[in-house]
Amino acid sequence: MSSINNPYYPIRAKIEKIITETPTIKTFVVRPETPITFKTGQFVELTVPGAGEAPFTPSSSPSISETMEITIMAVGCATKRLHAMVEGDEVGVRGPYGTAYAVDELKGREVLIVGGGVGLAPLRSLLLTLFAEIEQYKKIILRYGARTPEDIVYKYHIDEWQKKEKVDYVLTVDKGNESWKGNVGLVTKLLDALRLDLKNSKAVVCGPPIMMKFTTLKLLEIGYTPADIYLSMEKNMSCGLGKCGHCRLGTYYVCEDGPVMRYDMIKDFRGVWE
Amino acid sequence: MHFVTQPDYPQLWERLSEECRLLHPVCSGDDYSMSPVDKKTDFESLIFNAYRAIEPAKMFLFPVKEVVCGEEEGEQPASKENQKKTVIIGVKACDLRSIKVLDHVFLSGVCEDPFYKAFREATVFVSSDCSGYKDVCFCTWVGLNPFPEEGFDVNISPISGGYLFETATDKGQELIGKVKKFLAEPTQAQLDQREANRKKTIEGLNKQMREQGFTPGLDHERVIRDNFDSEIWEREAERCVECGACNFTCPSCHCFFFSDDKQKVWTREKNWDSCQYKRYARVAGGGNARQMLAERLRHRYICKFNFYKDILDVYACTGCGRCVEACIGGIDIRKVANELNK
Ligand SMILES: Cc1cc2nc3c(=O)[nH]c(=O)nc-3n(C[C@H](O)[C@H](O)[C@H](O)COP(=O)(O)OP(=O)(O)OC[C@H]3O[C@@H](n4cnc5c(N)ncnc54)[C@H](O)[C@@H]3O)c2cc1C
Ligand code: SF4
Ligand code: SF4
Ligand code: FES
Repeated sequence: MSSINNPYYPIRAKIEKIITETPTIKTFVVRPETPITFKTGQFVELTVPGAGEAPFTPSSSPSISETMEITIMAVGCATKRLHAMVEGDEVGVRGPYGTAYAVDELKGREVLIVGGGVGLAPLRSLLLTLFAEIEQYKKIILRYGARTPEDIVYKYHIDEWQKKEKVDYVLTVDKGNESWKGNVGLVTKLLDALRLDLKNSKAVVCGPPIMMKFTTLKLLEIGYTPADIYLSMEKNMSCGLGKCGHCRLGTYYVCEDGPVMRYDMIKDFRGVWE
Repeated sequence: MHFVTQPDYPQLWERLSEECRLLHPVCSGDDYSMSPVDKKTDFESLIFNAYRAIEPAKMFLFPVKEVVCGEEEGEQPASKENQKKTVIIGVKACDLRSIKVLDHVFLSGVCEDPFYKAFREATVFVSSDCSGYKDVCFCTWVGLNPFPEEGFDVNISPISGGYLFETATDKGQELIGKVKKFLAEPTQAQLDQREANRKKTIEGLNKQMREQGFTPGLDHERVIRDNFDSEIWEREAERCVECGACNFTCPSCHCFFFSDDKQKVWTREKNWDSCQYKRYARVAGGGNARQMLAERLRHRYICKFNFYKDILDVYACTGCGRCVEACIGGIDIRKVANELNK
């Protein structure tokens, strides 16, 4: 029986290339045996043989289905094992699952994208999607915060993205070093100075829970309505298919009704940020 | 509706056991335990179970652990043995309600669970009215009657001298069609007796509950929803030892997790999980949606009385009382609801 009728069975995928982003984050370019098409923002369950499965959001453009890039921070059992793997090794992929970024809702608007840490991974997939038809958007404002200059992901994109027409990319680090000339401070601090056409803007946020919480509060303070804010929620997940129960949030399953959720959907639930 | 005489009842099952796998309750102390009955069984000794069995019906559709991916090309959903038609006899209204919940989880949504589906399709539910109740039963408190009203293929009602068999589905019709020679047309008096028996069980159970302090008409949904911040959660959680018995014994609890074999790489097992375990909601970086035991306890009640009410318009708590019996800390879901309502 193949993965077609067994939703729990992963497609084998060869690790084609590994890019070291930071001391704890690597991007894995994988080539699934059968191409996997996904929409930007959706996630996959990645099997690390012998270590288990974990959910990740592809960081590559959804226009490419032969290969998929996944940017992963080593934090525990499966991710550390994955970081020890080499090009040519085999992993498994199930998916895609969950909701995508509502790209159509962003068209014609000023899009504010706020990322924290490895949270820039799903946002890169979104950015690549927006860049592909940049004429559709009024402006793309990207604000990104990392812990230290070393922890910044996609350093090789910084110049390229900052030079892009209609794109305004500013970074900050929590803690600088001797050679760092850029901003120091939390990413929320960068939001104060923004001059936005609020009535015509949507915000997309992805990062650690604490960063998402304070960014959301800041965005509300600036004047965004809850319905203008898209969040990538992170909950413990096992099945990815709305069956195992783990990812429940209020009346939703984050694996099915998320991971991309509009803040107005969830704002009244207790324990949203935990 | 058909009538089957008392002496014919065991013969009917003996005849069906030639073709299907049968599970029938057998006495186990004051309880009933679901057991396979086959050629070796003394059919004359089969007794009608007055109330639900120890085992929740989910066990036969959603095993404690199940291999869902094998080393080769994935795994067949359910082995040949399991796909053999299985007739589960003596399932009560409470467990049928739980199957409604499980069907929703495993057969709707983004995809079906092919493993559950295979078991489900091969299962025939022959339910029965309760002619008694346990001291922990409270189905009538959570919107059910102690006799099946939906979700069965065949339902049995005990009356004097025998049983009434009611078929509700093609599956049930087909099963009963094999034993036509045991079926007689029921009299109006027999039908009336069924109604009278049912009424008697409801009244008896309600009386027992009233004496226990559980007054009919409690709005569980509101009580749980309005008391999110009650300190009762913490007080109750003090006695919880996080064993997960409430979840495992509950007919409607369906959470599971995958565990991948460390040696036999690509082999994946689906295992029952418990929302009372701390790791259940843990995420990378040490975050946890329900760090505290009291939050996890509350989560279970919210799941039963709010979540499923919202999405399926039923309580996922069926009133079977199994968790009341199972909890070594003595946490009693009825008393918790009562306390919260004070
Ligand atoms: C929708 C979604 C998208 C994600 N995208 C990315 C991404 O692009 N890049 C990235 O680096 N990280 C991402 N994460 C986080 C990533 O899933 C965790 O870092 C990973 O699960 C940690 O696994 P581990 O075995 O190494 O950690 P451990 O701490 O050893 O194990 C944690 C245990 O909890 C279970 N678990 C289930 N869900 C989670 C979870 N969300 N976080 C942590 N543990 C979990 C694991 O199966 C494991 O058994 C995402 C999470 C979600 C929910
Ligand atoms: S919560 Fe307790 S009483 Fe309710 S269905 Fe589950 S085991 Fe039965
Ligand atoms: S809970 Fe109700 S239906 Fe279930 S065994 Fe008890 S009396 Fe019967
Ligand atoms: S991950 Fe299993 S229900 Fe969402």
